This record gives sequence, structure tokens and C-alpha cells, in this order.
Amino acid sequence: MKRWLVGLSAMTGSLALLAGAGASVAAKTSNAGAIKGTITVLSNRTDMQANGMLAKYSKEFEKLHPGTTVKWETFVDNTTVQTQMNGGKYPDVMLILPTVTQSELPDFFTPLNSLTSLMNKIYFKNFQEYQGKVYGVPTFSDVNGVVYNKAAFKKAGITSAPTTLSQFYADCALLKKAGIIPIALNYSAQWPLGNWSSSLPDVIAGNANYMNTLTSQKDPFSANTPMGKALTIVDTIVKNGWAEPHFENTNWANSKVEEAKGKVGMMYLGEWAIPQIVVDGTPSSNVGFFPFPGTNSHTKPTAFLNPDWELAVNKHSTNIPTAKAFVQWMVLGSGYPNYAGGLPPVKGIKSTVPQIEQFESEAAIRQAVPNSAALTKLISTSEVDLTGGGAVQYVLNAPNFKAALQKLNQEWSNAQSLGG
Amino acid sequence: MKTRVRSADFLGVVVKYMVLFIAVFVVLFPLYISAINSLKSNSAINNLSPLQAPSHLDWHNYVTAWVGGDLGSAFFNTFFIIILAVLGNVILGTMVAFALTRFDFALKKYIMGAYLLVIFIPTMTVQVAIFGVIKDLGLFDTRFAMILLYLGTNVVQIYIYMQFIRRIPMSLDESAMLDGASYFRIYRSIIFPLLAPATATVAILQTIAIYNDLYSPYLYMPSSNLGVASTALLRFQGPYSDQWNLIMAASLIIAIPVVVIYLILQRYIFAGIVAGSVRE
Amino acid sequence: MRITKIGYKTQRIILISAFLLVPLALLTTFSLYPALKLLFYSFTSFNGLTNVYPWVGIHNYIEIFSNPSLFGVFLHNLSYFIGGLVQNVLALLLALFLNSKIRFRNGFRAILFVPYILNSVAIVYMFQYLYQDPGVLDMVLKFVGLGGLQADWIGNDKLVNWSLAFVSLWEFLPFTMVIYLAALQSLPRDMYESAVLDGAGAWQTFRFITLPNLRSIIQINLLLTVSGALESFNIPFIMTNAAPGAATFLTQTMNVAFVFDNYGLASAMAVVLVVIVVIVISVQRKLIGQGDDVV
Repeated sequence: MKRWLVGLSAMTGSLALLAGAGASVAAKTSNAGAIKGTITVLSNRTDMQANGMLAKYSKEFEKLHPGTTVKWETFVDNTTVQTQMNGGKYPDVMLILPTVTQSELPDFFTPLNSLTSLMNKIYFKNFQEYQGKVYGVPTFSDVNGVVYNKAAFKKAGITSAPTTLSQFYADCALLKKAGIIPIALNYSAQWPLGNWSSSLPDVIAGNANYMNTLTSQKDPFSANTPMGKALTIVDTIVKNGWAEPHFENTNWANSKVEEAKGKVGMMYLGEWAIPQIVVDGTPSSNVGFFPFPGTNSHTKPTAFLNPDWELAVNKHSTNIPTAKAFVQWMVLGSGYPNYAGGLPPVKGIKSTVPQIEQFESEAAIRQAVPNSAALTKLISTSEVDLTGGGAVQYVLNAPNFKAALQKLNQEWSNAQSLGG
Repeated sequence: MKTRVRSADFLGVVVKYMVLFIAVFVVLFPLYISAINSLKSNSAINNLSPLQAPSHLDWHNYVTAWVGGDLGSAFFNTFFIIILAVLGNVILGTMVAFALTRFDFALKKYIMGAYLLVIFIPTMTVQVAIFGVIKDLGLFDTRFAMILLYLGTNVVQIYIYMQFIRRIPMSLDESAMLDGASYFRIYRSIIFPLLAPATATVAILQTIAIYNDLYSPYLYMPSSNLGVASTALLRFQGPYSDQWNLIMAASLIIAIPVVVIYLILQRYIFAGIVAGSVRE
Repeated sequence: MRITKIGYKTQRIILISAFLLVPLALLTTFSLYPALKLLFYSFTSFNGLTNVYPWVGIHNYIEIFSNPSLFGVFLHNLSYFIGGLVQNVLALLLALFLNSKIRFRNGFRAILFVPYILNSVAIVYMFQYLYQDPGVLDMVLKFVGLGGLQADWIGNDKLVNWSLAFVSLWEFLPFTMVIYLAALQSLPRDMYESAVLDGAGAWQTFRFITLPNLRSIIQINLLLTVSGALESFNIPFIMTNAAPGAATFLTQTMNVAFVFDNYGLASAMAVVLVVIVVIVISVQRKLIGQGDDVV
């Protein structure tokens, strides 16, 4: 019996060797530098797979570079992609998962610095950079703000977008009075809550680096800190009944439809949500977008530009040249940033989205700063999910808001003392 | 006296049928709601109450679901995997059960213990380790990854077959041995055919387990042409999550083939379960 | 025929080896080896992503047992457990009815088994639709005059786990029922006949003949129910995205592994879960008595 087991593991071992050998042979024979052959590309857009847009991109790229084939893989759950990465089997062109830290980039991806024309034009190079090498480039950039239905505002008697927090609260009350759900939080989907704890605190602090300073702060969740103030705002919305009537049972897709219909007034998301609400049945001219007025100061509210999903090239890929060419084309040539309704991540190219033009006049737009490795680690150790919306869910779900903040402070300081 | 008993009996019968009809209603109601809403046009689903059947049946959703969800290739992959994995589970399961019930040997207890332990380990938590194995075998992104995985992790059939074999009298084996039959012949010509009812049960149980598995197909077959029923349905929710008529149509398309197979095979399935649960 | 020239002793060795080689190879590769790996990970701070496995000893286990909130979610699993008990009682009741003299028995049985064979993602979508607020379920309650019971079935933290446990009951009751029915059908008739001759009533025959004879089947059904309840994942995961109010131990384990990059801790949680399941099942076997022929 024991001998069998040994034999068995020897067998799997040799199979592994064979598989490994096959891969390395393939790597050697692939024609270095030539843009041809097949690549696989990862995408989060199941909708664009269903409506044929991804296939259209394949065709365009294949036409530009004859002899290439582009295959798409879509995913709905990060965990499967992460397991594939750990196992060393993942698509040639990847999206960088939020859990990958900067120092881990070289383990999985190949540097893109050789794409000089792209490197000279692109913003946000420092977001996925390690030891001077750039591993990821954004497909487009995002700016967070409030997407609102103009007709609903009009019906409630609101004539212009709020520029201070108290105006914002007053507008919520007006919308409610008019029988409109003032602001949909989308609690059930969890991720839409992330803005309140990862983006709004920076806005309130007026400091792009504020989130990174949390690692060294004592009690960052107390009510008087920018983080505490941000959480207080979302708590105030719920306490006043300005969110969905059953705010814990929400349907993200349905919220978009309701906002298109004007039954929901606002959502705190990003510019990318505008075209999605338009698709759900309202003219683009009816959808507005303003920077979140996090404070009562009368200067223009700050808004920070962030990279959306970033493209990277698998370092184990047998067709790196084609994969790199595809990344460059996707950012510069495909028109995807405009299709997605995002801001082009490229210097000198302006957005064609009218709402963003309006937004740019109302906000002081600045570039965001990537989360430091220390912050990411502390979030993991403390299990206070600031980026994914889990922490906001926790706070809203807690019977006592003050106690919930206390609990977060305690978990944060526990993690800090563990040397996070 | 007699009439009183009869009226009590009558009451019992009424309660019995009432309970059964309520149960039937609870089973069929969600299906009925799904069916009527899957047949509504986009405007009908927004304007009619969910309880109201549409005035004209709109089959359009079924076409959109079939094409948009690429359900054709999902079905092909699903049944390809199910047929080979179930076949393998039946052959290997009967072999293991035969060896473990008809013979006594040193390691038997440990082998049975290992099979039992495996039942309690949630497969999801060990996927990282299994992923390494699948990759090393060169099976990543192939249907055979799933087939081998199911052969190695779905082990309930061992218990079902063991139950059955214990009930086949040893005297059958012994008289065959007097005729000079080999052990293999006893397995193949006596035991295996007698296990037919159990095999029907095993087949349906395994088919359902594989049909419902949604995590591993995502992990091991990410290529878009390798979708299976569960993953196709899950992928479907993203782009169409606000269109309940489409989601219901897709759900029913996914559900119907197995219901049909079940209706054809139900006599064998129930016979197998009956035969399997007899106590010794 | 020629094989028989080899003695049965040799044959025996050949057959046992030949019949077990492939299945055990598969079991080892896909189940036992990964289980050992899981145990190994549980002693490391492996992040699930990079192939580094820093040894941390029993630190993860200490963390589990010093962090009561990790166990808090077992309260949610409790709903599934109680739902499972209800499921067994109802299943046995329906099986008894179906086993009695009744019209359309096969028709009833065929229909009542249907939920079990539906795809579980499809089932979750159906119930998501029924549970909407306000949704079909609320309308039905209003229609039958129980409007006061209308509720937010998924959003209300006090209700959500019961709503989800009901979906589980709906999906799995048919299987439990059919197992009971099969067991009932195989009970010898003469036992009942002599009981009736002795003047036993329906309750007495159930209490003193049916129930004791079903002991091992009840045990196997409870075993499935208990391990199912402790390990529930699919329904809360698809239906609510494992929101805090509906998280189960397993959804939380996956969260620790993949959202908080702590695969080591998650592995330790999985090991603890398996140990808990084994303990609960052993206790249950002690309570209900032997019947060690099943499993």
C-alpha cells in the first residue's frame, strides 16, 4: 500500500515535469518580438461579452496585427482568478486584483517600461510600480462623485447641485418630501459602499494621502476624524431615512433602473455609472454628476482621479510581445475609455462625456495617491474592509453607531500592535 | 362506535390530502411564477403584477437567454463531463465497494476511514491545493480537469454500493466459485448486474452534484467556450441582472433537461433508493 | 476461465490491488493530499497568492479561539440546522402519508421530488424574485389575508437566515423524504399486521414499530442535515453576496482567505470546521444509538 502511494506520487511528479518541460520548450520556440499568435485576455465585463463588444475588440486588433488571435475570459469572482494566479496559470493579459501589493507585482507580471510611447502618455504610472518598473496601466480613470437624476431634483425644487454638506442634507430632505428616495446606497452589493470609507475621507481631509496616514494614527475611526466624519455622513443618511426604505435589502441593478426613472435621486459612485444609468432608460441630458460636498467650507469640493482596473502582462506568458501590444492598443487605440464612460488615462486627451465637463468646472480635481503597502497590510490584518465596503456594511448594520466606531478603533489598534 | 372511528378516519384522510396538496403547491408555485414571468415582454414585466400571467406569450426571452448566455455550449460541456464522470464513478465505485465488502485485509479500516473523512471536508477550502495538482497534470482549462476532480472528490457512491453489496448473499459468490468462476468474473457477472438499481440512484445523485457545482468549473475551466450550466447562469446575472424575465427564462432552460431525464428515469431512481435503504 | 488456475489466494491479492489502485490514486491526489496541504497551510501565514509559506506554528488556531466574533456566525448556521430538523420532521410526515393507502401516490412522489433535481443557482434566482421587497411572497400573503406578515425577507437581519434556510429546506427536503419513504416501504408488512391484531392504534404503531425501525435512516439523514447546516455556502453566497447578517462560517472562511489575504488563517478555520462536524456527528451517534452499518 505504501509502495503504491510512493509510486503514485512519483507518477504525478513525472507528469508535472513533463508538463513543465512542454511549457519551457514552447517559450523558447516562440518568435521573440513578433506580434502574432494567440493571446488570452481577462475581462470583468460579462456584459460586454454578452453584447459582443469584446469580440469586436478582438476583430479590430486581429485586423491591425494579422496572424494574431485574441481570446477573452471573463470572471465574476476574484477568488478564482487569485487561485489561478497562485497556481501560475492565468491569461496573458491580466487585470491586477486589488489584493496584489506592489512588492508582489514582479512575482506575476512583466514590466511594461519598454512600451515607451504608452509610458510617455499615461497617467498613474506610480500605482502599479515597484523598484522603478511599471507593471500595470489603467484602462481608464475614474473620479468619484454623485450621479443624480436632474428631473428628480427639479421635481423636489432643487435648482443647483449642492456645494456644501448642509446643502446636501437639505437637498436629501427635499427629495424625500417629494416622494423620491434621496440616495441609494446599494448595501447588498457591498462594493458600492466602498467609496464612503476609501474615497470620501480623502475628500473631507482634502488630502490625497490621508488614507495612507491611517496606519500610524491612533483611533482613526473616532467621530471627529475625516474617516469618522465620512462614516457619520453615511450613518446620517440611513438614520434620516434618506437611503432606500429597506436599505439592507437592495438590488444594485434595480437601483440604476430606479434612478433612470427618477424614483431614486442620487448615488455616490463614479463617472462610469452615468452611461449605465442612461442605458437603463433615460436621456443622457437628464443625468448629472457633481463632486461630493464632504464639508461645509465654501471652496470647490476636492475630487480625486483614480485608475480603474489596470491591465498587466503575465510574466509566464509565451507570447509577451503580442500581449504588450494588446495592452497598448486597448488603452490608446480601442476607444474603451469612452465606451466605459471613464476619463481617458492619457495626457492631452479630453473626455467626451458632457457630465464630466460639468464636473470639472465644479470640482478641484487632483490625482489620487496609491494605497501604501502598509495600509493594505493593516486592512488585511485588522479585517476592517475599508476598500470593499465591508466596514461600511458593518457600521450600518451595528445597533449602535458610536460603539461600532469604537470597535473599529480597537480592531485597528490590535492590528497595529501586531506590527501591521 | 363504528361511525365515530370512520369519521376519525375520514378526518385523517382529509388532513393527509390537504397536507400533500399544500406541499405540491409549495413546490410548484415558485416554478409557476418563474414560468409566467419568463414569458413576459420587457414592458409586461414592468407593468403587470408578478402574479399575473401575460396576455400573450413572449418566447423571445428564451432565445435571448440561449444566445446571450451561450447555453448551447454550456449544455454540451455539462453533459460531456457528467457522462464520463458518472460512468467513471459507477465503475470505480462498484470496484471499491466490492473489494472493501467482500474481502478483509490489513488496511481496510484505514481506507474506509479516509473515504469517510473526505465527505466532511468542504471542497471549496482545499481548492488552492487541488489547483496545483490539476496544473501539474497539465489538465488546466480542459474538461478532463473536472472529470478527474469529480472522480477523486465525489465519494458518496462508495457507501451506497457497499450497502447494496452487503445485502447480496455470499452464497451466490460461493456457488460461482464452485463452478470455477474467478473473483473478477463474480464481480462482473454477478455483483455488477445486481447493483443496477443502486447505479440508477448513484447516477442521479452524481448528475445533480455535478450539475450544481459552480465553483470548480469557474476555477478550472475559465475559457469562455468551456462554460457549464451553473457558471453560464451565474455569468448571466451580471449583464442582465435587472431583467427578471430573462433570468427566469435562463433558469428554466437550465432546469428543464434534468427534469426531463428525471421523468424518464424516475421509476429506476426510486427503485434504487428503495432497494438501497433496506436495513439488514 | 484460465484465471482460476491461479489460486483464489493469489487472485484475492491481485483483485484487491487492481480494484483499489486507481480509485485510491484519485482519492489521494484530489482529496487526501489537498487535505494534508490544508493542514500544512493552517500552520503558516500563506497569503493565498505568492508561493511563500512562513511557518507560524499554532498562531492561527490561537487567533481563532481568541476571537469570538469568528464563531459568532455559527448563530446563522443555527438557522440552517433548525431548518434541517424541521425538514426531517416534515419529510418523515410526507413519507408516512405517501406510504399509506392513497390515490396518485406516484404522481405526488414525482412532483414533490422535483426541487431536488433543479439547478441550485436557478433555485436561488427564483427565490430572490419571490423574496423581493415588496415581492411575490408579500403579495401572496396579502392575498390570503395574512398581509400583516409581509416583511423584508432578505434585508431584515432577524429574518434573512430563516429565509435562506427555507430555500435550503425547499431544495433538500425531497431527498430526505424519498429516503424515508424508501425505508418505510421496505419495512416488513407482517409486523404491522400483528400489531393491528394486538389492537395498536396508528400512533402506537408509529411510536413502537416504525420509529425504532427507522433509527439508522434517521441517523443518516440527520448526519447529512448537520454537516449540510454547518457547511452551508452556496445559498447565502449567491443570494446575499454573504452580507454580514447572512454570513455563515464557510462564507466567512472564504472571505478571510481571499479578501483579507489570510489563507493560513482560513485553512485553520476550515480544519476547525471539519473537527466540529466530526464531533457533532459523533455526539449525535452516541445519542441516537448504534447503527454503525450506515456510514
